[in-house]
Amino acid sequence: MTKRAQWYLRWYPRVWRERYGDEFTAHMESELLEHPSVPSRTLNIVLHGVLTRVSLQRALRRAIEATLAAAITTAVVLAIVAAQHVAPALSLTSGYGGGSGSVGIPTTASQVTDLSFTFTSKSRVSIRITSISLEGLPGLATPLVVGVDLERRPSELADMGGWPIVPPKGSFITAKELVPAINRTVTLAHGNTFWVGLRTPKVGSAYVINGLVVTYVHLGSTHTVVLDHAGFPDEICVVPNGSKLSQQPCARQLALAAGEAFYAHSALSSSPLVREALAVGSAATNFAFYNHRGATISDLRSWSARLFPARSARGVLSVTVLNDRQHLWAFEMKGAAKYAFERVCTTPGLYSSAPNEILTPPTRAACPAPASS
Amino acid sequence: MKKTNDVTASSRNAGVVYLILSSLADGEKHGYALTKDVEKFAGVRIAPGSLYEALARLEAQGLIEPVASSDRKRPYRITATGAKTLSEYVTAQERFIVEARRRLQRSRRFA
Repeated sequence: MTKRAQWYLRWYPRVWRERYGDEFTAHMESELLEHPSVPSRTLNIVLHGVLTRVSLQRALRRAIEATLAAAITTAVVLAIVAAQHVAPALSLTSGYGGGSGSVGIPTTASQVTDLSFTFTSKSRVSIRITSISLEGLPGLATPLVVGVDLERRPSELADMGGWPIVPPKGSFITAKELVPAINRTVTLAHGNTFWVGLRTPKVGSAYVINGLVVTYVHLGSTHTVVLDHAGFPDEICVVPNGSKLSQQPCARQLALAAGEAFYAHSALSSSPLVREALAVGSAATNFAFYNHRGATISDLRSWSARLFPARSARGVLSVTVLNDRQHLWAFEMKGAAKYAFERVCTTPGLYSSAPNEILTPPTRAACPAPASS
Repeated sequence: MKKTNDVTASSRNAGVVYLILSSLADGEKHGYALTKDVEKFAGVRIAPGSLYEALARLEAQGLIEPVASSDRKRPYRITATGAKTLSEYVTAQERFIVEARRRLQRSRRFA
């Protein structure tokens, strides 16, 4: 009887047997004495024995799954918490050592121009640059980027003339010191230079670059920084192939770009009216430089309207040319309570200007004698 | 198995757990004695596989508890929670029986 009882017991898992084995065996011994053979009883015990094995395994599996799920959730939470505490973005500062931008580059539609952007960084830090794009100005075209190289030093050279960059003979840099910058991990030095290849396909257009937008990954976090040339935009004028390379065809657009950039970066005065006057004056000055002649009143009014479309809301009334025959002219932008004006003095082919002044009331002043060219 | 009357028919429909609780409400018993008692008052024979599965479930739910014994046949007794559970079940069954009889008496087919 005991052997038969133990046969029934073996259908159950070890864990169950340890708990109920003795009493089950004793129960079965009594059952078998009373009813030696009951097929339905056999079926009942076998079925429950197998189901108990399955349910215990399921319970064990559920316990393991729950433990794993808890462990994975904890790991994810810890990773998110750790990511929040990653070091902040690197300080990539434009214009190492006073590096300046390239202003008013004449080019043709078939030529690829290159520009350099110097910047400072923490030395020996590694970043992966994922994208570089250009920041333009409203209403003006932005060039297409054809390539970006990194030079791990502050480059003193102006544009190298085309893409890919080919350092001129005798220059202090070699081609191997220029590494492609996009989608690769680079180790920065204290001073670095991005060389950017640019295509400007539209003849007669001025293309403006107000900044280089650099996206990079550092210690697992993605950051974006804008490098510029101390607030001065780079301007490219596209002339027809075979013509003289000159910024003159783009004078009006370049003047507008100069006014936009000047207004955006000016902090000379907290008065909006004065800043507007200085911005229009900057446009007029640049126009005279590129075009070799002074701006007309309609030019000034056009730039004023483009730069400050809401000026009427601020009470600015008019732009007036005082005297353009002697290449001396001033314009006046009146405010509601007070007025200010910008005075510009130009001569053909040369650039000079009197210091910006705010005069009340406006007066005429002599233009300095042109310097011999 | 004996033929059953109306009472045992309703008892057979009761779950194994309530049969066990009912048996233990009358005093602690081991497994084999349980099956004999249930068979006697309810006309239902609980197979060993079903019995021990129910005992494990009832013990896990705190409705019964094992009694220390030197005998291999371990007795069980109903807990206070088990008694309360059984009482609630019986009350519900009594309401059901009263309503069922009332409706039967209302019905001409079965009056």
